[in-house]
Amino acid sequence: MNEQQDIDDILARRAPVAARPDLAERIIHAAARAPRQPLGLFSPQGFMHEALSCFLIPRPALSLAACLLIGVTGGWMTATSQTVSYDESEMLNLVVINEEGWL
Amino acid sequence: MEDTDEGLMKRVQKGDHQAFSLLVRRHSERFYALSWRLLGNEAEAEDVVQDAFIKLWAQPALFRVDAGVRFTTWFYRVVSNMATDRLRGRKRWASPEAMDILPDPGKGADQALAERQTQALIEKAIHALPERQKLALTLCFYEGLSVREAGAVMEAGEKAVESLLMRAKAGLREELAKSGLVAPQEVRHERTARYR
Repeated sequence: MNEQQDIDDILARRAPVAARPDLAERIIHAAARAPRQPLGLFSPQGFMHEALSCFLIPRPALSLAACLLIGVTGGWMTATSQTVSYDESEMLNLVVINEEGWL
Repeated sequence: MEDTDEGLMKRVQKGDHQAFSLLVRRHSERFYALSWRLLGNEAEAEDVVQDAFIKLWAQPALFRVDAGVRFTTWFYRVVSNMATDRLRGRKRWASPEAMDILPDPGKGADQALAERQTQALIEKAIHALPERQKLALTLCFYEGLSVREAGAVMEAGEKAVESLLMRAKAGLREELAKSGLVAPQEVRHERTARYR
């Protein structure tokens, strides 16, 4: 006998309880009373649905990790680019006008 | 006129209630069975199926007809997610003795009672499985889905589903062995090794 066969036989003994015979009709009647979300993009709800879906984050943890990585990389690059070299500071002295004593 | 599920869904998206009724009549029992196997309770299973179909009617755009996904695959996912949410919302699993398992009326009282107790043990063992294992088992064993189809429903690879199935059956064996319904794994291995 197959090793899995006894487990399969036991699983096969598990018969579901049948749904009440009017289940489908009850669902159909309940749905008829339910409000329906319009599909059109130009209806207010449809537009809002589309607009909101643009901002939905499908994987929040991944998005957060990506934001952190971009933030750290951006911050590190800004910190290095803000260091003014000697040549740059000489150039700045020429460009920036010393206004002391004008007023 | 297209009477495939996907064709009916196109009509549902245009507001055709007749098409919706056809879909419900065609699939309500199938999805009720899935829901019942996940929840083990008749009333809750019916609620989940009803809520899922009402959601389908209220927000038909959730199903993308042009995405190439079969309606049943997508709806299996909807129903199983809703059933899982309901399971998580429960404080604790209902006692298996209290579940709606009907004995076979053709059997005698003692036999029916024994059968009922066995069914309760099976239910308890199945519902003790982790959610994903239980879902994989339900989809592949009871719903007859292939491993690939179950993977599409569960958004998992075929290998992952196979692994879930193997672990589910091993878990069931372990649990059922405690009540003597099956031989424990170790003993069986020894027995098969002896005959090699």
